[in-house]
Amino acid sequence: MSAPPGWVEAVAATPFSVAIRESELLFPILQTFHIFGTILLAGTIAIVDLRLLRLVLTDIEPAPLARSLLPVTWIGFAVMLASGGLLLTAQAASLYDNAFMRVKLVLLALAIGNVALFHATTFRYIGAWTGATPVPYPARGFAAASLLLWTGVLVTGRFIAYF
Amino acid sequence: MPFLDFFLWLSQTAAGRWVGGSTAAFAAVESLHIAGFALLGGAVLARNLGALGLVLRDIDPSRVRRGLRVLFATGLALAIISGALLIASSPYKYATNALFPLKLGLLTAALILELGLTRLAALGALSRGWVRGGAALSLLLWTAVTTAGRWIGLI
Repeated sequence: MSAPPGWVEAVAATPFSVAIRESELLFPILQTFHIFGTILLAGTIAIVDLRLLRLVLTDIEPAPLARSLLPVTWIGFAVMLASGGLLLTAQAASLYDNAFMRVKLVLLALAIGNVALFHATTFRYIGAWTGATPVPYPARGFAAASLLLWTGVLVTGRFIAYF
Repeated sequence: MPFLDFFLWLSQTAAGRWVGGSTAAFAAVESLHIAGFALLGGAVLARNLGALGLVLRDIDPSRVRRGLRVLFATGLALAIISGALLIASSPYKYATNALFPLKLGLLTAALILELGLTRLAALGALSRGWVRGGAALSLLLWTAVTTAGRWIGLI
């Protein structure tokens, strides 16, 4: 156990953080929004990734599917980030030392890096993956990595509350 | 407490004793519950936002419904199995929780509607208005199921 640095203690001690932390209503409401954000984000990401791995919606082309679900993913991401940011701010001091919180943030960074790299590279040709043209192996790798990393974010996120 | 006998039986199974005896096991099963629910939720969102014309606008909604059957069933199976294990970990807590029967009722209604919409869409038996109304109601019911589920753990 190491003591949190001064700025973390300061964040946790602001009236704003204390108000969230000690509210019997605000805290669970934020947790509820965090779950909804997770479902919007993870649910739509899973559909696109599983499509690229040819496990769902195989008779629908990947390009319109990915393009059309992306706004829902972004909404989920925004809700998750806002609610998660507030929950973390409120508990900054007690979560500073939490190993699962740290691993979750690393996995989150990797998951975001994975999708950024995917979209900057092979994803740009998604329009060509139609009919007889299979989804190329690098794209399937990004999809599988995405499923694993987001699952890791979800699991470590749940464990934060208990350890 | 109409569920208590069944919940107590669940808690005495080997799986029930495992999940009730360890915080890590409980957290792992909770994670599975959320992951399964996220898969199910993804299918529900794509199907019903699609039927409302908010996503997948250029794709036939009945194809989206059909193509997500396996994902919906997989997510549902994971959520039900993990949900039963969570109950087995603390049978009294869930048998006396005021939100538990509410969630079960909402879940039953949401499932009947979702399965009904899928069946009727496959038959092409629904007018546009019924497809949209059913989709909106389904989203509302699943939102209520999710909210009730989160608050079961809080009250």
